[in-house]
Amino acid sequence: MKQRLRVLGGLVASFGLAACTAGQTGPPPTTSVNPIATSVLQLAVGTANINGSAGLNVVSTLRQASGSSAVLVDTPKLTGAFTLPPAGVAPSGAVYDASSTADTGPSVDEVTNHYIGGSPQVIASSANPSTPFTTFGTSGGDFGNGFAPANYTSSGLPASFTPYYEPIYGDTTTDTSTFIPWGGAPAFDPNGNGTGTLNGTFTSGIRGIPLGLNVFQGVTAGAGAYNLQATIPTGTVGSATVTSNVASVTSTALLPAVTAPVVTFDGAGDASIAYAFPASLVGAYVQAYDETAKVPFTFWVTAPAGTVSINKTYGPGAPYPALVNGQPNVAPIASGDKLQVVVIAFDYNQYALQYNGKLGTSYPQRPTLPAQADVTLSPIVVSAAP
Amino acid sequence: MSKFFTAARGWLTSALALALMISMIGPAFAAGGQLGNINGVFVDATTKAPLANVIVTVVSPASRYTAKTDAKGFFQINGVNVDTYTVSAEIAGHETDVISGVTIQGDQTISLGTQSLSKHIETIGRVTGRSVTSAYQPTQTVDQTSISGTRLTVAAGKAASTDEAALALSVPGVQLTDSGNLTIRGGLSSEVGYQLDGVPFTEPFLSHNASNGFYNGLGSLQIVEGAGDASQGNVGSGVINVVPKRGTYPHFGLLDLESGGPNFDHQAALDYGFATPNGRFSEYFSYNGQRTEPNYGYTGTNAASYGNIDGVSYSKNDDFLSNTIYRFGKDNHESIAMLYENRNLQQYGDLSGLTGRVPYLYNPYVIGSLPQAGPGTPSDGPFLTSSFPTLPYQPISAAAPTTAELTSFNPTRFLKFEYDNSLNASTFLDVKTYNWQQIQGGSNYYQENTVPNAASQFTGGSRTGISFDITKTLGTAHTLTFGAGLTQVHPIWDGVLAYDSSLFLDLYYLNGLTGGGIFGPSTSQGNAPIGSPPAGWGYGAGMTPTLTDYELPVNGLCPSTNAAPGPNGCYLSSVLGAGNVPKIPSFGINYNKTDLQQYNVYLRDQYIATKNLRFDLGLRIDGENWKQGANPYYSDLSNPYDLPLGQNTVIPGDNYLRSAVVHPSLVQPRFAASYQLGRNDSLRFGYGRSTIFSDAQTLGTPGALYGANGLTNVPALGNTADPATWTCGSGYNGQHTVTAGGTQPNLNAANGGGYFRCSNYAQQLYWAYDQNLDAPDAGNNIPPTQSNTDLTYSHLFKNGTAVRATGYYARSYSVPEFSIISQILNAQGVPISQVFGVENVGVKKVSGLEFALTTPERALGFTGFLSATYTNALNTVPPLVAGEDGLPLVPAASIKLGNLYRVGYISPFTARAGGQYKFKNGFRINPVIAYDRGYPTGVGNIIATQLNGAGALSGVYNAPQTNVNAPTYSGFLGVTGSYNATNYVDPVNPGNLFTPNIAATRGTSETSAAGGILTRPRLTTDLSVEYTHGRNTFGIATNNLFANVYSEPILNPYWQPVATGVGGPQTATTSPATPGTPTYTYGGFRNIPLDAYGNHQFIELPLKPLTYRLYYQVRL
Repeated sequence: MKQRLRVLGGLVASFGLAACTAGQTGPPPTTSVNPIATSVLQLAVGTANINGSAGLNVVSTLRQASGSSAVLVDTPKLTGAFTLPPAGVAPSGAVYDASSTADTGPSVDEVTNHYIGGSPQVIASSANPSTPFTTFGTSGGDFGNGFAPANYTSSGLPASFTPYYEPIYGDTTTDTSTFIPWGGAPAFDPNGNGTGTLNGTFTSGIRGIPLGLNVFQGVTAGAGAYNLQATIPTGTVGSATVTSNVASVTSTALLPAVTAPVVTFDGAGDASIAYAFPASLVGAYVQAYDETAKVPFTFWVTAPAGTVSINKTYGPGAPYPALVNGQPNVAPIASGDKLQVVVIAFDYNQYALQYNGKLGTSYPQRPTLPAQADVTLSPIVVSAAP
Repeated sequence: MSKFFTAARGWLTSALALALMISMIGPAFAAGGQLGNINGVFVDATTKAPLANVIVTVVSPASRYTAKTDAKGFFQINGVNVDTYTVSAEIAGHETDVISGVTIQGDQTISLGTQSLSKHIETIGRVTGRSVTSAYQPTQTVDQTSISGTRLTVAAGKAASTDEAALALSVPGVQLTDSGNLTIRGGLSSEVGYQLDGVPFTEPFLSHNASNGFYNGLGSLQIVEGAGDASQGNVGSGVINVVPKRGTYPHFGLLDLESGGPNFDHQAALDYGFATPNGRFSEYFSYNGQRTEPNYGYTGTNAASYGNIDGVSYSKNDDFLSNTIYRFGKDNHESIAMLYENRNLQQYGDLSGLTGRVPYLYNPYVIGSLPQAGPGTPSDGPFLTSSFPTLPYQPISAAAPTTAELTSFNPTRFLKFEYDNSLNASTFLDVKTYNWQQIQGGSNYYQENTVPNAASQFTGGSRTGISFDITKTLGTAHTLTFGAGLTQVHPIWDGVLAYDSSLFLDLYYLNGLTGGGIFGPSTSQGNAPIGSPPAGWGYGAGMTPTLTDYELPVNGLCPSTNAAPGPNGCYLSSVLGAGNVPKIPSFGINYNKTDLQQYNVYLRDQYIATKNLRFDLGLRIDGENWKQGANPYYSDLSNPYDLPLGQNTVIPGDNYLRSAVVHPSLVQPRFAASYQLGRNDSLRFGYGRSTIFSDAQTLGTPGALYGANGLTNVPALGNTADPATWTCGSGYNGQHTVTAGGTQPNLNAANGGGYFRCSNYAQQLYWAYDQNLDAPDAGNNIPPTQSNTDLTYSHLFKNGTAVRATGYYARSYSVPEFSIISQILNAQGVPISQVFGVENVGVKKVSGLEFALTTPERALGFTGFLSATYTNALNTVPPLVAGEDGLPLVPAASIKLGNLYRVGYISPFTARAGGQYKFKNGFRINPVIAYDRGYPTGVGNIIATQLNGAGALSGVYNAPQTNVNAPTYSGFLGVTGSYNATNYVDPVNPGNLFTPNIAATRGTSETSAAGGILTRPRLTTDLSVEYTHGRNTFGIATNNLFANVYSEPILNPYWQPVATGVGGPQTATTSPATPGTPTYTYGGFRNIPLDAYGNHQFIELPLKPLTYRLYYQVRL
């Protein structure tokens, strides 16, 4: 009897052990951060002189402690003392997502309710039959260097690595009206060897590091307070909002215009760009983009006038001959390539706010933004190499 | 030594105590074939003089053998059926000695040792100190285990079970892979050699167990771990052999009726065995019929919630087995046996029970949503309906089915004849011939999957063979066995892949258009595969068959060209006439008349060196001749390999048709020894080299073209006398390296053949397929080899409890692995078409420890077992890739880097314990508890990557794994793409391949390689309780008693990263997954209900709830 009791006791004990593990089944534990608590959203606004037209310049950073973008998905909403142009046409979806009007103008809803923002990422359903049109649509969010159509999708990739055409609301079909603000060597050279992001080690399609430029064409910057919010999903259905500091525009006067840069090809594959901007400003990007080879070149200059040179020091194969357009290239600008150039001058150090270091560089979570951030853009010059 | 064993015993005692504490105990251990030998020496108890002419009788209910001792008092009987016997020894003037419980182990010689007979005229009876089910087998040389008798019931929970895995898992060293396949000593599931009554029973095509995991009429289950002795062939990591029961005198039988739940679940079983009193004739037959509705989650679980709309809704299994034996000749020294099995396993789909499904004929290409470009054009629905290929057994109308489709039909037919002859007292001959076939497959006309894949696929094959073994005893020390065998293996792979031909032709149609086409461009939802042929697709230099060939002219003009019918449009109509254009032929696979001739020869010596020391020495040769079947579309039917027969000039020695591939053979030494340290302690050591011929799926992928008979008289397009226009031949095969979304190097580039002039349109179409969508026809695979070394210590306690501990090291060489030659990915990076090649580049190293504990088998009270296995397996295969436990798909970069990983398919530690307690009042309680430490999971932080087009940086790297450097092969648990990533880069400052700027992670603990962390441990319980009164037994058997068995967690592909460990707004958000509704999309991310996958990175599918069976059994 005693043995039998021992056996039965053992059975009971083993059953208890097995039963207790019922609560232990499950996937490995995960650790989560609270994106609301870890995110810092900063904002500065100012005027934009877009080749003589008024616009709104927005500088924002939504960063985590490492200085990287705080989140991969968010829905921004900018409010303040700006004046929106008339609503644009319904988006075609050809440039950004099907709910984004960034290539046509603010949406009716934005004009009506006076904001510039994005659309919530909610799947259409009977309760939510359609996604509202907005400037940023579902793909646009605010990131470590401003607005970008880079919200992650359920495919596990950003909607796009490519930044918004600038100026936003500009005509994206004409390369003298808008440009893609890819930052290239030498100003944005993460490899540190003149190749920018184009030495083959970056994901295909990443032509450079975004300049962090968000200029809204046709939007008038009025004097007053501005506020930016970013709604961050915290789960399947939940979300919370982080809010920026209150930024302000105290002067609505536009910065002086910047003259068009002068591009000179040397006929041997190099090019030089003569630029000038008002001496009162802090600095400027001399931004060039080889449209044929899809290679950007970016120079941050602080001297109000001068010349920068695109030569074989920069480009995909630098410092060695590289393949551009399928041909060995002894210089960045191959024969016949189209070069798009624009000068963007600032009354603050825009360059210092950006991801401009080499690979692995850490950046501040709270870069010091100016009280007011004004910008002036030259005409966009497109010329072909001989 | 004494200290060592004192310590060992202390440890073992502790283990025993622990085992008893959790009340699990157990028996077992024996052999590997269905015949064994027995010998012994009889001496006078007083004088110790040998006794000659002692009549030794060996009797079981099913068999009887007799022998006389020689002048040295020695006797040996060879060819004794595996069973438990009573041995009696009689000689005038001495006592009659009766020894009960002597169990013959397959392929082993059981020695009774020296037995003393007293000069007393009386009969005494005794029982040997141990049984075959004991973990203590001091004379056993090779690592073999038999599960029989009570152990069968204890391990399976009850009589009339069919769960073969439950029995096998009660043996240490046998584990389940994460795919649910059996593995021995951490080997691949394809390295397990299966046998039925000693006949190779491994399905020829996929190398799975032809029993499909169901046993019927089981007498014993024998498991060889490692190479075994020289008589064991087709051994990779081990062998599992099912030995059926035999008829006995007196008869026996059992009628079993069962009904279970929560889903419909019925079983009816009957077995019966009898023999004539003189033992000349015996018959045993068994039938088991099962009708079940599989439990996939709890009753009422929404099948769509788990993406299982088309899962198995109903399963039928009918299994009949008959074992007939006729003995004849003096003392019945000859016998003829016939073993027959007939099993039909059938499974029906449509688990969801949805009605209104539209059949293949009208739905797989979503014709209703196609652009309507005009009557007669390739994008016109009616045109497609009339032109798309038909499939075997396809419904003849568009009417929605009223019953679930039979998606899998799995007939197995087995027949074996065996002739045994004890030629004389020391010589035994065994000859057997067999023929069996298994086919499995079915159709899926109603499925609506991520990729339209309506197809008819059947795989399997037959094995026909003959073998003989002759055993000769030489003196008292040597037992020699010589054997040879020949097996004709005929693999079957009949695949009709209508989708592939339509896809191919459409792509070439699209090539001449801009956008559109029946498959449409890629969309953000990924519901269309691709919009144009991948760059680099090629097809000789001549004209290419396209969908426009099948167009019909309208008003004399071809719609797509607006010109008269001709080679550029409506070609077939121009040749055959508008009314004679056939449907598009189906691409497919066919092994034609391929055969594998496998042969073996071996010599074995069981040598008793001393009373305590035994050796088992052997040498074995296995070989194979590959006879590829000729494809009717080849230009040279005498060369059916689709490859040049000459030596490869690019990679000398690597020709697909080299001897090592077409005529492999291997010499395999086997060595084992046992040493009895004392009465209750023994050591055993074994080493063996072995090989298991690869399954047919590695032989290559010979293409087929079904439904093309009407096109053999149509001239080929373009092919003129100019060789530049020739498009037939394997010239392009294996040479294209292009993939959409990721390029894999072509490991087989050097083996392409040339082009020849197509003789007709059908031949041209066949080669178009072969060159672009079909893997090389020759597999370039050589059989892998294994080396196994093991050492066992076993101990017998005074109360009959035995323990055994085995350490082993096994290494596999030339393990075949798939690599991608080319693939097409959809918008999400998921492969929709892949072409593979086989490389023998795998290396596997496994070491481990096994522990077994058995109690004596008791008629009343407690009988039990405990088995525990620790496995440390390393492999060249990245963990958790698709097919890791069988024939895995390996990224070429990993192969080039020579990476070695800890395998992901096996839990490092598993244990299983079972026991029964039988009460005097007829009650029996039988729990079986299984534990695993958890299975490897995790995507890992490092991945083998191929970097192309980066100048000096081009090459292969072990680089950080991110969403922009995610596997493009079938990766983590069979899924691939960026949404599986561990780490997610900052979208505005992503960094590069080597230094990514990671902004968010899944929040999971990860190691460098995938599978570096373990899921949580699991402890699960099955419990049977029954009551027996007279011949009647009533019982209930429960499975997963605490309902805590879930599938291994897999990544939630719908999880959208927001921040570290935080999922986003589209996570699992979806519209209803109802096929046929506008919201249902093929392969989209939104067809999973919100409540199914939740907001977690992992998905854990409830495989089976608590299930139960009530049973009534009556002994006949």
